Amino acid sequence: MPKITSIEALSKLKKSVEPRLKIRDDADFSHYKSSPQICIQQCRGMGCTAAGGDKVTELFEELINKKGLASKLSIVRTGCLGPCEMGPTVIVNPGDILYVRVKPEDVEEIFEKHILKGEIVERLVYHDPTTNKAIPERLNIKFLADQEFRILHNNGIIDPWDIEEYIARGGYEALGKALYKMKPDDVLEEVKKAGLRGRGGAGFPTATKWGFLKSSPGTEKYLVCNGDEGDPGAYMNRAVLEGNPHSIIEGMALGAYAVGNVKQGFAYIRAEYPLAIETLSAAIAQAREYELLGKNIMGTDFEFNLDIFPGAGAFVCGEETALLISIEGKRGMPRQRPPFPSDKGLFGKPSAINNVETWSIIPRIIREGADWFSGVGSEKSKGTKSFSLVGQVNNVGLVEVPLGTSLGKIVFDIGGGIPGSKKYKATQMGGPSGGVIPIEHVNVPVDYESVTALGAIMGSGGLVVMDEDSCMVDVAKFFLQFTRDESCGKCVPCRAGIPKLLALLNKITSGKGTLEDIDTIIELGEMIQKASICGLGQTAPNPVLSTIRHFREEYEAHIIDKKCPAARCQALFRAPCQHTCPVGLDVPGYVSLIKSDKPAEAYKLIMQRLPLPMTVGRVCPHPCEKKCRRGQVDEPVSIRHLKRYASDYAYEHGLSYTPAIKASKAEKVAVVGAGPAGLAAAWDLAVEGYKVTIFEALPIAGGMLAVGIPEYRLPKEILNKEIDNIKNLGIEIRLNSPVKDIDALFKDGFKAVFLGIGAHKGDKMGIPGEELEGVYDAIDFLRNINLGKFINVGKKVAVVGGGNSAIDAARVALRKGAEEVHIVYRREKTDMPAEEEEILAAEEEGIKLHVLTAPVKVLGKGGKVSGIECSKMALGDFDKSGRRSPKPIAGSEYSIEVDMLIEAIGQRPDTESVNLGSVKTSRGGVLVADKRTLATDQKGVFAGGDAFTGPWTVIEAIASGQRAASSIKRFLSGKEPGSRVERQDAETFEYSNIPPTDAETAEHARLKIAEIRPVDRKTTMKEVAINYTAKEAREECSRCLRCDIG
Amino acid sequence: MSEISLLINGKQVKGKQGDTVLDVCQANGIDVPTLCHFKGLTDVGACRLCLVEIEKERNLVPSCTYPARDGQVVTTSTPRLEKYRRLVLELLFTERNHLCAYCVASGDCELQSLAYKYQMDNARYQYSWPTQTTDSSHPNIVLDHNRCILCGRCIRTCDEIAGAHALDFGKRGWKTNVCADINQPLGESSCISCGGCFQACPTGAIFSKISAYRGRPSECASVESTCAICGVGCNINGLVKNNRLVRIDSPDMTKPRGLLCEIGRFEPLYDATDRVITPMKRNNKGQLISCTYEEAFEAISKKLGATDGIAGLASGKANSEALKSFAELMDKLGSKMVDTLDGDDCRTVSQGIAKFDSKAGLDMEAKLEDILAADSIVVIGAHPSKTHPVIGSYIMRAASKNKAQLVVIDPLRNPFTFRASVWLKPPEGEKELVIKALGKSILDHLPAKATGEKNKYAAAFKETDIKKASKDLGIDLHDVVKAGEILAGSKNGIIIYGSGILQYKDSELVATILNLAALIGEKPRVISLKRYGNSRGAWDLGLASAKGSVSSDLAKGKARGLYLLLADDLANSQALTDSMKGVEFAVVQASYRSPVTEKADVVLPSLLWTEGKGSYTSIDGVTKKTAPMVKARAEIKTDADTIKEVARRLKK
Repeated sequence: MPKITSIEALSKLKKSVEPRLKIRDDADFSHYKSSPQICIQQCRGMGCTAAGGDKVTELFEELINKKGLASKLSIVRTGCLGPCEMGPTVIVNPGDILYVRVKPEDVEEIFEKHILKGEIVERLVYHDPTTNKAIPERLNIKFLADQEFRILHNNGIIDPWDIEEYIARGGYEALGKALYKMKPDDVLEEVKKAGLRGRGGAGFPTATKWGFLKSSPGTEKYLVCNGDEGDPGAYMNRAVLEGNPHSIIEGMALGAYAVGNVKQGFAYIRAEYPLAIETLSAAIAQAREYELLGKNIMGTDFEFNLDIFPGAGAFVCGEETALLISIEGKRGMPRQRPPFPSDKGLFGKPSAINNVETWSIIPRIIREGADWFSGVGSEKSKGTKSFSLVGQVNNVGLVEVPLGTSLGKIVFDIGGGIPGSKKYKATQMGGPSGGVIPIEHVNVPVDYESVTALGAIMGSGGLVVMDEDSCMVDVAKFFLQFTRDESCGKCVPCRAGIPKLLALLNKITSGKGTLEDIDTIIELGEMIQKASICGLGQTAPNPVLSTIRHFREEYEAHIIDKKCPAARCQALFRAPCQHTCPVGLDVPGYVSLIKSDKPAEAYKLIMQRLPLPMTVGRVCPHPCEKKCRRGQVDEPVSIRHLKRYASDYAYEHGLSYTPAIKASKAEKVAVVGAGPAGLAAAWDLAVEGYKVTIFEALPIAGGMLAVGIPEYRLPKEILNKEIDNIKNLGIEIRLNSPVKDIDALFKDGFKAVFLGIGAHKGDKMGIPGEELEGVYDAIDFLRNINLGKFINVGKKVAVVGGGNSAIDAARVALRKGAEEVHIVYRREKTDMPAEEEEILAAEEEGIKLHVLTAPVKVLGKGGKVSGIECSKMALGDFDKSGRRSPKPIAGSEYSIEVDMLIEAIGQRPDTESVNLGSVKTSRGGVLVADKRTLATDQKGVFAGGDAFTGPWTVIEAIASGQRAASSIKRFLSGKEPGSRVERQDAETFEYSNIPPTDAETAEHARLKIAEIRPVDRKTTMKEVAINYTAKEAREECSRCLRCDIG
Repeated sequence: MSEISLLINGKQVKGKQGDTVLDVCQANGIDVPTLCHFKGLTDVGACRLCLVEIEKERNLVPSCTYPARDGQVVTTSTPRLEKYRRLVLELLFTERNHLCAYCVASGDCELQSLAYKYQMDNARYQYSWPTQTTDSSHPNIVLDHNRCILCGRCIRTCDEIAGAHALDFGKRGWKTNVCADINQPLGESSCISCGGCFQACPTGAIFSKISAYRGRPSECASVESTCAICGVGCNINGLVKNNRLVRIDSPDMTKPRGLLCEIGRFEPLYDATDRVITPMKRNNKGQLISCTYEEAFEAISKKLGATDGIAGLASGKANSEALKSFAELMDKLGSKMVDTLDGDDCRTVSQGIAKFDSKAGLDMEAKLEDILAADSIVVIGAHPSKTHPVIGSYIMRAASKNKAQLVVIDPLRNPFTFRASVWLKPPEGEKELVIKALGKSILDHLPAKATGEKNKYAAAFKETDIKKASKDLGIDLHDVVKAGEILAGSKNGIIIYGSGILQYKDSELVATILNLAALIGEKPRVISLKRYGNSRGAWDLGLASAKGSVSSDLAKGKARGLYLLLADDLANSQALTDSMKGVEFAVVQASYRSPVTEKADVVLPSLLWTEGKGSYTSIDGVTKKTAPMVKARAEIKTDADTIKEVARRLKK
């Protein structure tokens, strides 16, 4: 083997190996057939190996040998490519064609078709998760295309076990350049100029650290590579160690040269990385053989040796002082600084420690110059950084991007967004020492300063993406458990304080917390940060402090409402569905009763907390189903349809339910608005024995249910039946009776008032031409149709907006004779707030969606609408809701010819025509009331429903009506308002407690409800959805996992 | 050391270069609370009670580790610091089961007093109630994890002062615990039972079984004295309550002779049985019965005055005042047969020294402190860990702290062998050859210049063929070579030898050892381990007969009478008893009844060293005094007074 004793020897060797490497960079697939050489590059990183990569290689090798193609075909095992979740990965060159999740049984097909015939096996290449389009070229995959490979530039290309391949890609040139052409200070200066900051997490300038070491007196100094990557979910360093080990050797040798008086370095690698240790050991041995390590490096008198020290698995040994003590053979516990390692480090000698990634980039800085390095990155954070992207994100894997790249770009573009149409919530940065960055800061540039300002840290680069199903208190608990176990146990704040923080969090997640506990946590957390010896303790409270900072209301929900919004903290509930239901319906109970063929009992059980079951069973957006645990197996149980089944059964069989009414009370209560909030409040108050009068402005009762929701979704007959049942409790509904002055109600003898006036006023777009004839807002449109008023529906109708009202208006227009209906929405389809199934139904009926489109002008002819001018939109930065804000694309305007335009962009309560007394209103005209008691500023007046929340769901309106009823009851009995709903005594029902059988829990999709065919339904207002049959209902019930048991 | 000036809490104070901020505070009477700091131990900054604010320092820093610098501006007490201190105390109290009412340390506990000081009379955090264990497997020491605050003082004492490193932290995080060896029961561990751990413990987590619940240290009288047991001469504080020794502490463990050992720490606390509390004489039936001092003196003066050929034997346990009186008495009796019980050792050592250098005496031996400063230590035929445990600790400390290289020459394993750079295992009785081979090996490695200087000591070794010697001895040549290399490069090496050498009564062998010592470093440093607490005192008084062993004279029946001064020596060897057979009249002066006193015609009581005042000279020639810590149960005269009385009444 050649000894590299000069720069010339190095470049000679490089030239001889380069041709071998050239083929692996050839991304032009048209070269494939004519290429004399073909190279198969297979990742041998831990991820792909764990997924069975070795077997795949073996099979390829067998086939190569069997066909006698060894001279033409080579197979190389490379370092980690990044998309770990897609392993084992195989690249075939020329062409840079990437195969993912290659199983042993796929090898032959790839070999026969691609290798031998040059045909891409489309089945096995990457498919875009949204479009499902096959993307065979590696760098066309967004996940990889949007990255900048600088640290990982050799990963996927070279065989890390072959020093010559590293040399062929320019390896050790930097060392040669330094030893022969640069003074040590020049090397230091170059690193300084590059602005490289430590990649271990704190971001301390590397050149400054080296400068300290250099100026520290002594002739025996040490350099250490910190490869004790212990953060849960972090594996950046492993990828470098396994894929590009020589970069660390060369980087450390350069550091030793720059600093001077360093003859020995240590690489501290955690023992949990056996492959990394093996790979680096082999690299060290090779570097020694080639005289690139040891005495007389490259023919000079420069000496540097490197040894590996395997760590024994303590997280704290990633802390520099603990790491040094560990190398000395003692228990790895941090010690107080000063003295700093640069004065007194390893074996009492001056030392410097840098992270794997820091060392790894040094050779390229020296070879390609400081300007090359600082050419990317943000102002204070130069260069690239690798991150391990994990958690609830489509593309899990290793990612390298310039510092300053926005978090949203990493999560949504590179990461491909959140799986399973869940909502993005936050990202935990910096592992257990870091903090969360919530959705509203998704635009944050990921660099040291910006991330720290939000209470997180860069850390070594772990990015854990969390969706709406993550409970922030639970997340804080997870990380605290980790630091509690991994604290070294030396200083009191960390060792004894973290368990106390955890105990307080456990208290909160079990529903026993108090608001003072939050203050205690903050006080103790800050003390632990300020008083601990080392970085572990100083940062351990970050997860809890940052979740309190950004998600305080979630803590308060656990404490005050005893609710875990993500339905994770099991001590707070029986079953996630029931916990998530705003009115707390006993879902497992009625599902079990239906399964036992007792639909009438199921109906009665539902009626305990929901007086409008047939309605809600049809139009509820079913938040319960989003948290249904069955959804983690296959699909959630069809809870809403089952509710409809039970209540329709009761209706069809003439059954109705009236609860026992308590002794009649003297006080009269006025409810303003006969919508779902008012009806629910009235029901609960009537059951308590109060005399309730509902004042309704419209000629019919039901509010939005009656005038907002079209007949084909909610037949009037059903709604009226339910309202009649409510009236049966002795509630008086005065129709056509708008309340103009709430003080007058008190004068009339009402002792309390509930304002449930809804949000019946449509918002305007504010564009020219809105005043033209033929422009409606959706609320007016739907109300008029529902009230049977005549509207001349146009032939060509455009609806603007993406919510349920927009879809309803569009579908109604279709049914009322429109020939062509367009929906214009400014964002993407996935951003539409309307129910997914509603959008789908509209499309099935032939309604045309124009997404990323916004109207800029209403065109008119003779005072009438003739069309709309639209602009195409491009998505820009993320807004506070985590969606990208659309921006018009200049010059993209086009017109749609229409004779009717319906605006459905928002709605608000009509509070201007009412004298509200001292009740205040806020932005959008909504009523101001206490979030929990719903008490307004005027004594005895409570507000709820859409009038308080702005346009929201029927089930939330019902819940707020019940909440108001509870508060009114307390108010009328002279009690202080309570923060939680106190319910009337409910009947109890016995139901089966037998857990589901194995057959029932086996994967099995939900039973779809039948619907009228699109062609038939387009012309009729008949209800679209057809009820389950008894058998179907029972079958669907058997899918319930019965989370409430045990 | 240069003086520095700091502004602490707005007050200008002085300190020394090299001080920590805490040092300066303490020297200036500024109170800063600590729990993990212990004078003389390395500071670790673990308890975080001593956190202070220092101007321009971004973080709070523990004053115990932070170097004091000239011009520094320090604040030791702010509302924030006081809050954090209280929080630390709350965390400590709720972390484990600190139930003061049951605790041996209650009233003497540093944690408890800080809680009072910070008025931490209740904690806001949930008590953890951990299921900690109590390790009472050790005969003398209990380790109760319930009360442990993990300050690490015991661990650092065990390592840095006792040199044992039997204790360390085990596990991590909230499960961290003090553990012995690889988490073994303390009683089965390598603990050397020196008791340093419980003296350093700020709470009741480690305590002495025998002292527990006998009285709070703060309620005991504290008497400063010197341990007279083995001849190291350790400083002690006897804690006494109701005329009972409750506990023996070191006044300062970190000072020379401040470390105590298992023997000194615990032995004096056990109630002595079989005490001689009154004089006794034989009645006409031949029975030994109690009598008054007057009757005893009467009987002695009658017999001793009338008998020629009285032999006098004294134990090195007796104090120097007694030994001096004893010498005078023997002189008055005109006895030619006076010796100490370890007279043979004395003669072997003294003659060996004379052979090495005719002008030198016992004074040429090294001081014990030299062990701590040594860079190499040769241990030949000695088991100091058993006989003089503190010396054993010194050797271990030198090895661990100074990285002193150990060369052990012993056929048997001892606590040093696992730590030794070289362990030479010659067969029993082959010490001389191995020493010579070692000497030759040193000569082989000495630089040319040094060889000239050392030439005069080289004779004893020059001719040795180390290859042959190694083969004959059955030891590895490489070991001999390695040991030679180590010692040749040593600047202040020291050789320690003991009974394994002295048993041969071969002064030539001792001379060879001294020559070997002369080859190591700039001057020969040797310490011979002497058998009794005051052996050196007796030898210095010239009590050991230069002519030869009086014990063997006795055995040969050459003496007609015997005055045996045992003091609190428990000597009851069969040989001694047997040698009394030929004696017509024997006086035994002793603290304890034994077969020897049973042979006596008159028995005179001796005080224990813990009961009397006396001078003792350590094995390296330092004379110190004991003070009475407790009163004897009866009126017992001091040995010196008793002997003087006997002398006064002699007819001659």
